[in-house]
Amino acid sequence: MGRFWVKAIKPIIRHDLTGAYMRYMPGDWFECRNQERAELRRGKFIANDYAGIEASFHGLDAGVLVLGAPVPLDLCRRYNLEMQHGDDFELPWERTVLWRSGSPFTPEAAVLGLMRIDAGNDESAWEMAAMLRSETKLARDIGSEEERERTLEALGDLRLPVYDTGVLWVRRTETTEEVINLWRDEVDAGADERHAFLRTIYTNPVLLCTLPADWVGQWMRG
Amino acid sequence: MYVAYGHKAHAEAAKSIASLRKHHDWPVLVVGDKPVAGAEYLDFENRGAPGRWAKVNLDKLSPWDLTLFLDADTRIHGDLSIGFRLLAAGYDLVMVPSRSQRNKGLRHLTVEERRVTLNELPIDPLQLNTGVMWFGPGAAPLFALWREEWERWQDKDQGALLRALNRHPVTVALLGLPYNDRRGEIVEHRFGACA
Repeated sequence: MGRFWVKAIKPIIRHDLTGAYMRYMPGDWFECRNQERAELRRGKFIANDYAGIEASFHGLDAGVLVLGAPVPLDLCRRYNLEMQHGDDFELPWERTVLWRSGSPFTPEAAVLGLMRIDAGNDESAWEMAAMLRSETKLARDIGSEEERERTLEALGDLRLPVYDTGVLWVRRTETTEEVINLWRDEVDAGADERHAFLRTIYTNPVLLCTLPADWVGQWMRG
Repeated sequence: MYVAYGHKAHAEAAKSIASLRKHHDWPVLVVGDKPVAGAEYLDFENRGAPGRWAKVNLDKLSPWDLTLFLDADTRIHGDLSIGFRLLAAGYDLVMVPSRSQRNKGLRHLTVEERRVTLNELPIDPLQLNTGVMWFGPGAAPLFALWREEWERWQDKDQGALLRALNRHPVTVALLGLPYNDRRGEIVEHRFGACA
């Protein structure tokens, strides 16, 4: 059975199996199954789902670089988004999704993230996007003692949120090329990916659009 | 910097400043309608929801290049210098994400402002708590848009900030919840104590 991400256009109250309810207001997004979606559509409670993404995304000079175990390279065909396998963090396109295969990923997430970092004619647009690993997990909660010490020495504090480095959206700029190079050098030298990412971005300011943990894109399934 | 209008906010600001003094001897400025002991004072008009017009004008009201803003209902339990270090490293703004995200966020806005905000923003933005913020001169364009966005409803400031940030991103360094939370180990935020 498919699950769909839909947007409320009228107030909606939904109940779970325990009887608890959640009220959704116009503009809220939530996940539902086929039958509920059909009912909500009949009542004109929700906007349509993926059509808007297809209509508003252009995949020119954009693609997904897959790191790790091979995956089918036609996953994003629906959006005309190129995919290729790579051995290391690099930016082959003007806008690149760096996806470590095994991390949660959907074509919709890839496209929505790329739209966030699309500069168009606006030089001040976001250069990168990344999800938080969780809203409560901190740098002091992850990695080895040695990694934590390195981060503490570099940044002076471990009460920093942790990013999910399994999927990153990066627009190629001087700053992001520097950030990706520095991060890659640390990781190639054996550093923990997440700590190395923190050490890199907190010392090299970048227009990073932080997305919530479990960003909706993770959950979108056709 | 603090913003304090009204008796409750003055009392809260005084307590917050006293807690700050245990850790830092930084100069403190209170913007509002009455002086608060132990701080410099700047009179500023109060428009819309109490204190919000001053908050979206902080960049213009601050006498310093690098500024820390604290809500009056905060209590400081530790060192806050990391925010200034991140500004010195080149960040424009240092903030803490809200504990409430996704459908639980922005519930304090009016139904209309929340609906319009969610429609105007890309899907599922990270929601930021404006109760603790460090900012530098690079945040000025964002503040200008924040004022514009706030003028649309003249109510709460958080939705307006997200809309402004969407129009003109600046570099934002995030700190964890210990720096702004009801149980924050560095900044305890007693949400609503001024209301």
